[in-house]
Amino acid sequence: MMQDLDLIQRAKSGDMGAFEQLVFRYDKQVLTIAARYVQSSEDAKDIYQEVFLRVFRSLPRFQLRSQFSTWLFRITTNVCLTHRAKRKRHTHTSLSQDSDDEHGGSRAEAISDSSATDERAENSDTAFHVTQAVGTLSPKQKMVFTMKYYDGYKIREIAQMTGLNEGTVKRYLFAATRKVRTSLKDLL
Amino acid sequence: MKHNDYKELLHLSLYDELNEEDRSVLDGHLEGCAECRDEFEELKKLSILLSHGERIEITDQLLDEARRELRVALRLENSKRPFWAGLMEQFDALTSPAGRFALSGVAMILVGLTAGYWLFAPSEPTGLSGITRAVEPSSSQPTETKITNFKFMGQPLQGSDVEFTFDMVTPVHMKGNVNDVAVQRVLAQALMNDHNPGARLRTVSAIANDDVALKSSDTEIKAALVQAVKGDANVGVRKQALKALQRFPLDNEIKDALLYVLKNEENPGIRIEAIAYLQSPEFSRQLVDQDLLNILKEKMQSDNNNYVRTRVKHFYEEVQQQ
Repeated sequence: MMQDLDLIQRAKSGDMGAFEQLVFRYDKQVLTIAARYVQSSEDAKDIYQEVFLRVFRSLPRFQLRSQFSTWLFRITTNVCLTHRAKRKRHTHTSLSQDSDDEHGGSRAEAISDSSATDERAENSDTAFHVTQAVGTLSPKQKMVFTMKYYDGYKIREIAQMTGLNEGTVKRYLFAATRKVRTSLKDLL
Repeated sequence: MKHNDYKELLHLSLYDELNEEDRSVLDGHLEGCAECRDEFEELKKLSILLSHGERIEITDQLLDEARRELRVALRLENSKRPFWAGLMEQFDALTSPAGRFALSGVAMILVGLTAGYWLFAPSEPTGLSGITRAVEPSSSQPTETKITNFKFMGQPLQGSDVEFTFDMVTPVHMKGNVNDVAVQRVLAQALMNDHNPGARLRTVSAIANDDVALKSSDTEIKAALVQAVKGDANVGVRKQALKALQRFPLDNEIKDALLYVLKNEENPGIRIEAIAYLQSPEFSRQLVDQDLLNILKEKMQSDNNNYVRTRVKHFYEEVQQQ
């Protein structure tokens, strides 16, 4: 298999096939990070596209001083942090609609009122609250939190990918965990 | 160690980031600290709760959609990009003093070579005969030229004069780099004319090799590859020729060859290769014409291979979006 370095050099000289190979090598990871962060497949696709367009535009100036993957993931986290959701999330929309139901109560209340014990409903209720709690985090807290909890990256890797130092990543992570814990206190 | 330090260890334990030493320190502390034990239990519950959080599944379909949209965006990006922008980027690399020094050195050498060529180059016809300058007959053997197809011409001439034609076949031993234009010309001729499919396959494989620096100006090679893609009797040669063709920028000539393959090639693997190349980010809006649309429309409905139909359909939709 061709090394990143060879592909980069060919892509720099205008070989779109080489650029595509580079994209295919890492794009699932990029899409995953984005999707976990924005919790919307449409927004994740927007981020994915923005990331690779930035890579495409900046590749001629890429100096090969750092690894391509490090550079790519740094762009990914930056794009995530500056991304503004353009489209309404399907899941959010439907859950919000539920919470404005005719009983005037929240989805959680509606479920408990009807004594529904269906596991799926409980899980979706929990999922809703967890998502709400994560949504209260600041962009950077949310970034490191989702990378840790949902993508399973090590603190060292998160530091590399975001360009933060490990101490700062830990600080964001502890603060985020505390905040989420407070938000979910009733469910613990 | 302060109490708060243990709390930090609790979190790190939850994140599975504790080393063995810290873990045993924490375990020792937990045995004697009820507050930290309670906190640890709550953090474990939190961890379980978080595992129920919503997660977007990254399906192949989602990834495929993202890639398709990216291709369209890249094509737009490419078509927006002015020529000079690319040129300036190349020059960016030479903005350092060392780069400028190297550039001026190269320029001096080029000037010298050009002047030398104009002053001393023998005047020989160009074209295929130019190969002979790069080709040397095997020096260790006597010339083994064979004369075939010998014919006297017209009426016998007066006296001892004669006039005739013949074909002269001389075995040539050639050793060179595939990037050499003369070598490439011979390979192109071999690809078009050799009767041995094995030799053609080796020829086209040599051209398809990633180490070969093909230029868009290598028109003879390109024409030979197009001909091989369209009509070589050997499926392996056609496949390799298609691979080699992807080393050239996607222009109208190559697009037509790919459409020809899509329409007429029997091997579905090669048809898939052709559609994949058409779908590459190199495809630009300028290449869209009625012929392309008609063939895509026809193939997305009637190709006997499911996958080819799907790929063509995706491509057709992409083209329509542009």
